[in-house]
Amino acid sequence: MNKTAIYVLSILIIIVLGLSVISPGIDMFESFRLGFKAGLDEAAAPGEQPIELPYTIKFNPSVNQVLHSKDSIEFGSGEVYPLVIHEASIRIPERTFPIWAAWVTSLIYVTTIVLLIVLICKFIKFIINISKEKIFVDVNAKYLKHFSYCLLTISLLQIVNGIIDEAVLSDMNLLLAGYQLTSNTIFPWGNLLIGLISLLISIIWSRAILIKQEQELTI
Amino acid sequence: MPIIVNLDVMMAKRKMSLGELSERIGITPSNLSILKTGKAKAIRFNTLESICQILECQPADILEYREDIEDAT
Repeated sequence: MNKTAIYVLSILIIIVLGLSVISPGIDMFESFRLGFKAGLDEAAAPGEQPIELPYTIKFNPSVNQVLHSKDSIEFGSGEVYPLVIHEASIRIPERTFPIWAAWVTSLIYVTTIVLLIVLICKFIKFIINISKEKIFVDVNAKYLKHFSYCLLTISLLQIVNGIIDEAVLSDMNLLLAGYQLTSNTIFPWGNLLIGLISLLISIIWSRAILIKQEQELTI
Repeated sequence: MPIIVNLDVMMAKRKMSLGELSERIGITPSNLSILKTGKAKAIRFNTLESICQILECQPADILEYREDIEDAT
């Protein structure tokens, strides 16, 4: 494996990590912007316009219960297929969304972004060490360990966020005939897997450092 | 480590310096110093063989096992 391949792979990983920071960042910024705008509108004309928040939910349609004939899509060839909604963003009144959930969700978003930034910094430091030929050193094992801890914490936060979303949705008592409504939560299998793999690699790395030190002290 | 390296004793007996011994064995003085000060984790048979050959001694003259010394690692 030559140095160019290491650099190319590292840049790709940093880009992916960067994009994963941007995505929740944009989500959070959009939520703050809407909340701020709603607050300003409310201050300008109190009680005139109800504050609404965007909320994404998943529709899990039972195929036998797609009720309306209008739920269909017509292709250019004239063929008509049933249109089944799987996911949609609805606007819910502000009072329906519990304040504690809003606070906890905001906190989770901010913590996730901070952890992702820390994670990228650790990874960049790790790559810098590798490029300087400092491969089997204690700090690299530490960086990998921190990287995995950050990723595992992010996964945990995502799970907590999902539980909160589900609790909020069940509190809202939304009903739609033929559909089972659930929150837009995706279990973070990918993050958990990468976190656990990097934790395993960090342990192996520490072991490799010990072997290297022993090798160096063999006369 | 309960293994004691008595290389300095043998070197003194043969009136040989670290630099001379390391040159004759074919290892660096810093590596020989690691061995002499007991910091080494292991010793290769060929290194031991060279040391015994040059210092005209047996491995037991260089290495000693003492139960009362605790393992620091």
